[in-house]
Amino acid sequence: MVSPEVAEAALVAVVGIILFEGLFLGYVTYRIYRGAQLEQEAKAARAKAEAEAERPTLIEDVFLLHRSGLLLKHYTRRLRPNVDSDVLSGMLVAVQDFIKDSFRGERGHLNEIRFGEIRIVVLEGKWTILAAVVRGTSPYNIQPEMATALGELESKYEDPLADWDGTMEQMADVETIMSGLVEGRYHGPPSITLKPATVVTR
Amino acid sequence: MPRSFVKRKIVLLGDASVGKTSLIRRFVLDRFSDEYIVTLGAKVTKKDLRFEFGPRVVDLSLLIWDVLGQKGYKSLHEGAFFEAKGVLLVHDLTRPETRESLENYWMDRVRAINGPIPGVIVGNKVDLVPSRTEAQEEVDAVARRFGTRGFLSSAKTGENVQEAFMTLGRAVLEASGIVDEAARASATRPAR
Repeated sequence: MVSPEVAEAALVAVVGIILFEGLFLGYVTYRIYRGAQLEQEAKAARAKAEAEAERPTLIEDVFLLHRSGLLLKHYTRRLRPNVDSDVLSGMLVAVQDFIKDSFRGERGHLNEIRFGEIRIVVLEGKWTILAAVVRGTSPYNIQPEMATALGELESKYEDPLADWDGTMEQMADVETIMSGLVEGRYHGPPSITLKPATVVTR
Repeated sequence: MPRSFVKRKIVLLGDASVGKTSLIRRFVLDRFSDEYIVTLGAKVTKKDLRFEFGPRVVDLSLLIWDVLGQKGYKSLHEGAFFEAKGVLLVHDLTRPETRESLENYWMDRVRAINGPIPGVIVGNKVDLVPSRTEAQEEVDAVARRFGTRGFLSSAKTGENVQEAFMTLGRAVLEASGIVDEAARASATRPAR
């Protein structure tokens, strides 16, 4: 016969072993699951990065503004019914000026605004401002194309732009130049280099 | 009926808290709020108006720049004044220093950049003044000095808000030469 003390000790030992094995198995299962989860997350991140790297930078909107903030032309790939392009143009110029005042003494220009997945790339010419709403990973690639288009436009229409009467009658080809920018016709090395606002006189 | 479409920029100027934003809100949305919200930088609002000058109809798209009233924002103010075709100079009838500021600061700044442009003087918050007669004399005196029209107005009650903006809109069109003399002579009241 086994004494009650020995039986109790054996029972405690068996229960302890079962508990230990349970904990061990649980830990191993968790490690396997977590490892798989991390691997899945890393895979998804890699796939996303690869997809983004392959995705071309897309111009969704182009705003050509007079330096006064008035809109000259607006091209868009998608309609935003609640956005007034005249008001948006004015605000783009106002924000630029506010930043210049707030950081007076700093050299530079507000040449990019990021909002969610879109970036607004801004390029200042002598008489006009070109703003492109861009979706994609490398919006700065757009800048040489924007500079070429803006340079062509300003050299072609210097006279009407210098003393703009508020109409587009004397600038018939603006449409061709702007649609050319959206369609990627200025892709390639820039033929004209624009200096940002240092040339601006008000 | 001959029609034309014109887009013009105007700017509202005056010291902080004279009621520039409230005037625009009343004019564009026909609303008023007692809450004071400082304008950060500038805010651009649009209002489409129609004017009839005899047989000619002019659709005016007015881009209204509401600029912060704190002095010293050189780039922002110059940017707002640049190519503005009209100015609404606003002061608070309950604070005489804001009227002096119009004469000594804001008008000089605008003229330095734009030269002489059409302007309208607005003495705002007329609902708070003890004497309308004195307020009217005050606004008339300022308007005379600038060679323009002056209005006693209240963004709260809506008094003369529409009239001030419409007067400026008409003046902007007349100054731009869009309306010829003959049409101007037979001008009727704005349709809206």
